[in-house]
Amino acid sequence: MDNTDLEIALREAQMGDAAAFGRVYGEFSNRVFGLCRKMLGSQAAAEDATSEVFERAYQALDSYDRERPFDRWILTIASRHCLNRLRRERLEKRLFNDEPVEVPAPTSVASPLVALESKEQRQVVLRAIDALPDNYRLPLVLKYYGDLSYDEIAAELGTTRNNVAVLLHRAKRELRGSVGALRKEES
Amino acid sequence: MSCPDELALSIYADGELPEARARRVAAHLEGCASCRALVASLEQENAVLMEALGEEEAVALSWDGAASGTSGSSAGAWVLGAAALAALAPFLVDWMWQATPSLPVGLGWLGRFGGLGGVYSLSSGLVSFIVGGQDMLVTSIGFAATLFVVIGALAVRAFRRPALVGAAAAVALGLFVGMSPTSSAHAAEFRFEKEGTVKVDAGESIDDTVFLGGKTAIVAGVVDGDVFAGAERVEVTGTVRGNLYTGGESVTITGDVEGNVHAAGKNVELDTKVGGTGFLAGQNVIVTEGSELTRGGFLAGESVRSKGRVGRDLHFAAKKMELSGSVERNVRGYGKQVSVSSTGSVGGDLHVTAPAEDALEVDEGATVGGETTVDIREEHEHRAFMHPGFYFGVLAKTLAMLLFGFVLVTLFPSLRPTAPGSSKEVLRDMGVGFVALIATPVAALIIAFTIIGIPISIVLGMVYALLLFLSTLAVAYFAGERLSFGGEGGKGVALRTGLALLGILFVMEIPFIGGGLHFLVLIFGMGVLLLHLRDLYLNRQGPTDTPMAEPDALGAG
Repeated sequence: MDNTDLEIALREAQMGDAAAFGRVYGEFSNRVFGLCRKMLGSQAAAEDATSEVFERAYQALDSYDRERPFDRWILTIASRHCLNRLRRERLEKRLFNDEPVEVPAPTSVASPLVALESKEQRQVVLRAIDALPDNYRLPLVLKYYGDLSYDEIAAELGTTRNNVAVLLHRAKRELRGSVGALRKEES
Repeated sequence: MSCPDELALSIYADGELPEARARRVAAHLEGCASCRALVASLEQENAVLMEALGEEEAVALSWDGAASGTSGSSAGAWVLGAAALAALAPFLVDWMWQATPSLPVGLGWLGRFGGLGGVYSLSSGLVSFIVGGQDMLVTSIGFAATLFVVIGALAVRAFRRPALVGAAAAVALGLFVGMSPTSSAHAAEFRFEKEGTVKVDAGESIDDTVFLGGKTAIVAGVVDGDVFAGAERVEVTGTVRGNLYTGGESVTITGDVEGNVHAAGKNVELDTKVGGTGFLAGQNVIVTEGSELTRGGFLAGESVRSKGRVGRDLHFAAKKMELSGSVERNVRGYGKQVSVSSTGSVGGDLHVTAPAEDALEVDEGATVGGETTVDIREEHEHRAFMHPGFYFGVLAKTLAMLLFGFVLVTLFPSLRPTAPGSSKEVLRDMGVGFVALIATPVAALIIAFTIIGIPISIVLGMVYALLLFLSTLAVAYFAGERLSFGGEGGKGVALRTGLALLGILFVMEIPFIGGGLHFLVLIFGMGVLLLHLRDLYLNRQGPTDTPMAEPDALGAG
């Protein structure tokens, strides 16, 4: 589906054509599902969330501004939806308290994350990401999957830009450790 | 300069460091190999994360909202499908006619019509009734339909319900049913006999409504409720206290009917006194000498003969109309050939719409109490442009259409159609409109034969007439949107639409090409309106109820 097709489909969908929205769904469901899957850490929850996200998007389609890239719009809805879900699940527990900024010990240059060539090795990283606590996993997914900026992530998570930087940094440090451990287990 | 901390380098690798600081870090990296290596490693990590996270995962989900629509259908497929369907429709109908081994009880006689010919001759009567007899439509059915739609619309609006077209139709139908004379029936009795004769015997008396279906249906006894009868041959010789709804190859009514008579068939003969109104349609329709239609009659067919007495107005649409009986009030109708014989008498006006002045023959002995007028409607009116009345007529039509559209759009802003965005969509709209234009009268006719479907087919006919009426307006609205003057807001829209409508109506009157253009405008407008209604419907059917956009109706500006 190129841009013109997408524009046509969106316009028809805004007029209430459910079939046209079906085409939009076909185009973006994988990415939305991927984001939900990574944010929620479970296949089943992500499937639910994906359909809820598209329902919400269909509902709010009138408010979608066609000048804006559609993928940003729907991924924002998806991340917000997943966050709300996580917050509900954790009984309104605040996920993102400010992390004390400390200067961590320098990382060794040879990160175990780097040089993961094969698919199996990438699976190891994914497993490690799933195992991260929410407050590390969510910014990581939003940054490296959703391609959101620090500011956007901060707005989504209700925290500060600095805190996002710290969280991402720590998340990667955690990952280095867990990926190193996982690879040792496997070998 | 000391090395930046690792957090700063991490932010730098993400490209999120403020510009001034980023420049300083970049400058530092030039001269610091260890920091350079660290940043390279961080960037590589980011790439790995993106790659790992970006792995496609299988999703076996589907969008439920799409299930009701035709997903993946392109405009091209629509056009092709519509064209193919339109081309194949006659063969399909004919094939179904021939291939059906046995039609449902009471409809077997339809098979005798020999496929298309019979359907055509019946439908042509109905179509000429709806399309040809415009005056009649406006004065009676059209007026009633408009009234029902407006009342229904106001009622829906008053309850602050969304603009549900279905609800409006239901209210209209409710009013329609409510206003028809109620019968004393409480329950219904069904009698069906596939090959034989179904009968209400002489001497037999039934309190309820009766449904009769078979090869031959005879009502010889007394029925207190309504009678619904469908058979090859229908004979009513007894007494019907309620209404009579019937269809058959031959319908003969000689017994008394106290309510209304609705009869359709190849030959319809009425030889009795009817307490209510007679609605008779068929190839040959006869109201015999000595018969009476107390509350007036609506007669349509290829050949219509009215020899009896009509207590009120008589409306007709026929190829050949013979009036030799009496009509107490006005006679109005549309006919290719109309004659009033010496025994004929009309209490009020005689108003005939015909292709030529000499299409109406009034015998010398005939009496007409009021005025006799012939409204000439030629297929191609060459000299129309010479008469000032023509311009006035077009202007009046424009204003009437604008006013109607204005009321409708003010009540239901969502009814205003959206202009098609591409030529593909225009073609699709035209394809849909073409099929709807051709298929609706046939569908209405077929539904009407299922007896219970008579009210449905009447409503369908009204909706069809309404859509035909509005389709020109819709096209004018789109054309008006292409003009660039008059300013924004309701007044501008009304002005542009009005001018475009005026132009279109004039062009339609041009001999030869006008007819073709008229047809194109009709199918395009009809397609647009139908698809728009479908969109509105699907919108409501969708997973969520999108709140309607606030009215920026024609008059708001």
